[in-house]
Amino acid sequence: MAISTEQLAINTIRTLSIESIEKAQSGHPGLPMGAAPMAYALWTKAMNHNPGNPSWFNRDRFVLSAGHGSMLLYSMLHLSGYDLSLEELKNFRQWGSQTPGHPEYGHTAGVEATTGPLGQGLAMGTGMAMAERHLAAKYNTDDHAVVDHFTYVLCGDGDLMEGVASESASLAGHLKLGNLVVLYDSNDVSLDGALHQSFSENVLQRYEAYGWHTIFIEDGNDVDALEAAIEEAKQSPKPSMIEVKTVIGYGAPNKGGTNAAHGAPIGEDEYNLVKEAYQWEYDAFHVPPEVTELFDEVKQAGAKAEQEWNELFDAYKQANPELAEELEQAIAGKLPEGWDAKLPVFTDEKVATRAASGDVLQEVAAAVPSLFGGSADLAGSNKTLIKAENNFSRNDYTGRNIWFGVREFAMAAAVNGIQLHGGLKPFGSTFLVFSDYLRPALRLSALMELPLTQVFTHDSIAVGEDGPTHEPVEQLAALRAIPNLNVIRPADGNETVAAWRVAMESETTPTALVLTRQGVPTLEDTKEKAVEGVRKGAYVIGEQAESPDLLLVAAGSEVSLAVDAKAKLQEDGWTVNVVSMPNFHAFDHQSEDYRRSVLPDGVPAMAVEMGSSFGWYKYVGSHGSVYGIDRFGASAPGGEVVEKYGFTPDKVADAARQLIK
Amino acid sequence: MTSKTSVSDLSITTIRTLTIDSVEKAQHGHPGMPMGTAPLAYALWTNVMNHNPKNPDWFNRDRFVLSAGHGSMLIYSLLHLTGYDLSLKELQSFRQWGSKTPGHPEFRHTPGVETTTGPLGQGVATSVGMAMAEAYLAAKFNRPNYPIVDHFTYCLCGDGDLMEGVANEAISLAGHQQLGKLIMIFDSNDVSLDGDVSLSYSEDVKEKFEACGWEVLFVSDGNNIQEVETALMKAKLNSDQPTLIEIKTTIGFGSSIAGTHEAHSDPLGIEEIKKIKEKYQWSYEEDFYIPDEVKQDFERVQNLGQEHEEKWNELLGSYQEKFPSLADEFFKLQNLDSLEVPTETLPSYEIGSTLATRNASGESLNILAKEFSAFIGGSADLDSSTKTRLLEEKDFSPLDRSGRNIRFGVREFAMAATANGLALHHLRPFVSTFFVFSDYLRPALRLSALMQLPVTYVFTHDSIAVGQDGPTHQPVEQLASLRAMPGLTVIRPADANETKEAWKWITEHNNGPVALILGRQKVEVFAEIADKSPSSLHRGAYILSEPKQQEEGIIIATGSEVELAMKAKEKLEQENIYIRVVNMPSWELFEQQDDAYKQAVLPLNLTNRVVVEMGSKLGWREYASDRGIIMSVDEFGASGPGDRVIQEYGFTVEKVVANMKKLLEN
Repeated sequence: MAISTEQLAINTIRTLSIESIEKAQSGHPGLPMGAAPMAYALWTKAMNHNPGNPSWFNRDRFVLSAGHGSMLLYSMLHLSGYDLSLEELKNFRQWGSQTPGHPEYGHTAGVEATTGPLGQGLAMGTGMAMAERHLAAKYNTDDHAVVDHFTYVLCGDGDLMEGVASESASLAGHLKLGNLVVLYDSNDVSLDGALHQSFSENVLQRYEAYGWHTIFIEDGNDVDALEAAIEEAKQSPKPSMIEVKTVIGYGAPNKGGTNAAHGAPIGEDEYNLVKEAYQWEYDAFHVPPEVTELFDEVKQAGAKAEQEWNELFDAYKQANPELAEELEQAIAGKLPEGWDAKLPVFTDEKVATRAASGDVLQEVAAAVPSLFGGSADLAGSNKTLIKAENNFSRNDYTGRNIWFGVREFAMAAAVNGIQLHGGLKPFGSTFLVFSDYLRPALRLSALMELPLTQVFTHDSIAVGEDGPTHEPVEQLAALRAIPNLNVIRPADGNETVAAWRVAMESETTPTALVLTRQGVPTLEDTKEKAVEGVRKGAYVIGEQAESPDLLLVAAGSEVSLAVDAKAKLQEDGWTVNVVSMPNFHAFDHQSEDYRRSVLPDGVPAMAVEMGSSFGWYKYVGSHGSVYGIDRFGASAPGGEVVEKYGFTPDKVADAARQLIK
Repeated sequence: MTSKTSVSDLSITTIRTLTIDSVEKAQHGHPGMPMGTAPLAYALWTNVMNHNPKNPDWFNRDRFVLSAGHGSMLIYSLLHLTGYDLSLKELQSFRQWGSKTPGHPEFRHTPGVETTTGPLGQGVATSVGMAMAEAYLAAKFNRPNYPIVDHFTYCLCGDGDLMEGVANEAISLAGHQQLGKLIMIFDSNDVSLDGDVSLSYSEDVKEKFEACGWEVLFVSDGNNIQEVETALMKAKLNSDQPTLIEIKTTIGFGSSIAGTHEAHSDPLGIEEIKKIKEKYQWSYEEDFYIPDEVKQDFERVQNLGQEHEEKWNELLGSYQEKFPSLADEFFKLQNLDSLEVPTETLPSYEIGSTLATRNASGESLNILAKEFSAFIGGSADLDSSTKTRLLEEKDFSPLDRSGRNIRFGVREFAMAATANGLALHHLRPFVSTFFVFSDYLRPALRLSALMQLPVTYVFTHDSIAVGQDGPTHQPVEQLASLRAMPGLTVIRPADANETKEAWKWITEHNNGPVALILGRQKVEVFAEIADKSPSSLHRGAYILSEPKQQEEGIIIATGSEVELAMKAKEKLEQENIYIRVVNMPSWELFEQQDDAYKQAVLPLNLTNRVVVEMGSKLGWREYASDRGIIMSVDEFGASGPGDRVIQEYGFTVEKVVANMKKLLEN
């Protein structure tokens, strides 16, 4: 029987994947073999993309949430004509190749998000769809729909078991994101074996409960059915979940349909049988010319689509020059000129840094139209509500306040998706102690080098009454350990302003702003010094003695405590420099000269922070000491807890005296 | 007031007024939830739940988990009224230093509190663990006519809980496992902290639970205790499915801000309280007042509870006579503090052979599990990689509750929170996933640590050596972030024999969680470790190898990097450079040693130190000395064959040698 070009193309996707994995002797062939037809239907028939320009703004987004099936994506990218050579496919999973084990954003042209940690791709897709709805509502006019695309996610069973996927499905349904289409590769197998051993829910029913449109496809090889389903999904005003029954490792007579096809090369013998099943007679890494031709047409169609959009945008620009300029600037990730002109300066006696942050946020939101974010049901406490703006809701996508619900993890992953989409500067917020809930998404922010912001308030045992479950201790250390994350813990209102500056101006580093619940005094000279000092990560607060007897190094609310302790020590005749160290990461990147000027060698140093002592020795040295908290907190009024844990000027001064002796 | 209904009403009002008064006195807290849920809680605690306030440790009691932990005053009011050891004075000290009534319920802190809650969603998952423990123990110990393990687990949750991913994972798991003795009550009040739930939540809860295999019941009026009781009774009858009872309530019932998020948290104020009490027809002036008839009403709970426990004791007595060895094993579960592992039962590995520590771990775990029936656990769909499968045991499943391999599915967070439930129910659970995904379950691990629960976390694939899977699968900062957590012991053994020793240590310690960090790749079995680890692992760090001559420096390493350290030492010795190797499998255990020991291992004057660990350097400066060189990974990993990645990141014997020489030259 003659094989259609379509079937040949699908088989090419499969064989490229299998052969790359065989060559690497490592990888997951099962998913690409089973899901090749749906990928084919989506990429060649439904998806609006231009392989010649992976950064075309109005392209449809595609996220492979089941990132272990990376070879599916690489095969698609190569065949569709993205800048990914056959040579790269042959170097799958090798050092320095563009084809790492899991898809990595920023590493490979056409990869929209880093995936692999399960569930998060779905949540990032949700974020992308939110971004699209928001920008479309904000910038499209009756005549010109300049932002108008779909977001497609391909996921597996493993994704759907993860809590973050449930959170984001609930959110997407709530927001009625009709521009989100999920293809669920339903193959009844997970890494450890048959899926029914751990998973027996009715997925489509669950998604209906979330407010999704659902479609079931019996035969994952039926391209026509897949195409029709995707079309139906596009028409639905709700997000769509298309469950596609597939056979993992399709075509492998012995391993197909079992977990043996999931995570290891299928082996030469089995592959020979697979080739028989596919009626595939070519050498390794062969792409039949008719397949090349078929995909060329896709590429051309994509180029044409972008061309048309460019014309549309020109017309839009002519009709709406200001809007267009604003959008272009946002897409370029630039801040409007003078965006920081109205940032507040704090002179009040006392202000909680979360409150200061709230004030800054209002000004930033007014000046930077691309700012977009919200909280996991704690906006009132986090002070992250943009007061002059509406809620982002299914009835009003122009709103800029996102109600993420008590879904911290989906929030952070959605924020990643919004940032990846482009055109927006997103933020999320929750209590610092619950940063643990969203940590896996924040790790991806850092890994993908996304310059977004997470606002974490209630940053120490000073939280008080709510007790140890709500009092962060080790969270600061844990965040500081994440590579490429700016953890900024400002000491007062002015440092908070400076911290927001760093966050907004960042290009490749996410920022975690760590803020107090309780009021802290405005320090003497932060008005002048904070901007530069916070940027550099650490600086001397108050007068800087040339040869001090002691350094007190502190962050956040403990800087004013250190200043008070300094006063006590001065009464004893000691000369003390107080260093505010809001950002380890930035300080580590300063010149050695600068670092030494702040932390001179040979001067005893004591770090003061209401958090784990972990990591502080780096700055105070083995002759220094760390005045921290290495146990869990306790429930009582905040001031009392702080006192019981020893964070009073007297006790800090006592500890410092011990050290100097 | 004589009729039964009116006494119930008065008792319910007392729960509410105690809550209101406590929150008012503390000037802090969440009154809304207890005001709304008082009737259903009353129905559950007085007429349905099988518990004995005089003995909160009674093994066969029904468990109650307040997943919506911010409603802590509900549980404190109930504990006090039903006669648990929680005085009125404690209620008056709500949220104060040293009181037994902290802001959120804390296990070990207050008698009758079954688990620490507050971080939303986790109570749901922890109660799934308790229900699993019950099912397992019942299958294991019960005999016809001797149902010595036979109780329900009740979980009260709010909207916030149900939004959390961990709750969704747990719901799916509970439905899959058909845990018929799990009953969840959903306080459906349409309000969350920030506002109306409809602003962020519009699921069809009933349909979602049904899709996950649950029975769903609905009570339209949360003030109707007959309706509540009927639903609870119906739920108990369904032994094949867990049941969700959605009960419509009014947050802050009785107040002028009832039904709004303003009633969620914050005290109500004296004026408002006056009005509320009027509405409740509460005629007592005194705050914290408990009418006599209410006291009497609750006394029957105590009497009934005592009766139930006595009956159970009788049952257990005859069980003991009839099944002495089973009973013996059952009693052992009550005391897991004194497990002793005969060393000879664990394998010894041949010096010079190579084996991944994850494989060695699997072997020890299998042997220990044979010995101790309290060992139960599994993996988040990575059994075959983490080597935590008990090979001779079956799966824990609806078909066979005696199985001890739990297939958690790709639900890391629910797995860990479930394990907390298993541990709270007197088992010794172990759970496993890739180390990098410890991030996914971190909030539950924190609760293990806070509650001091003996949960063993087996984290494999512990470094960039994972290789091809790339940066998303290569841990970097995970070691540092776990070491920063109070109450958690992190052990990263260096070879197969030390892994065995780690398991021995874990088995013999019952007072907190352990994270066992294991390699995917093979490492050499060292004679020095076989020799020293058995007597030194518990010290956290020890001198693994000393040179023949006075040493000039120290190489400190952990886990798979000890091999590098040993080889570097050998190489340096060939050049007549003498150094010591310190193996440091556990910082926490080392920190518990006295100064003399610490000094002996890491003498102050030996400042030529090279630290070798394939993870973040954060925290190492404390041990590295100011001038020491820390060989670490402070950026994300990369995809490539493991050996190549290791080499590219600079973890070679040559580099270790060069760094030590550099120190010695300066």
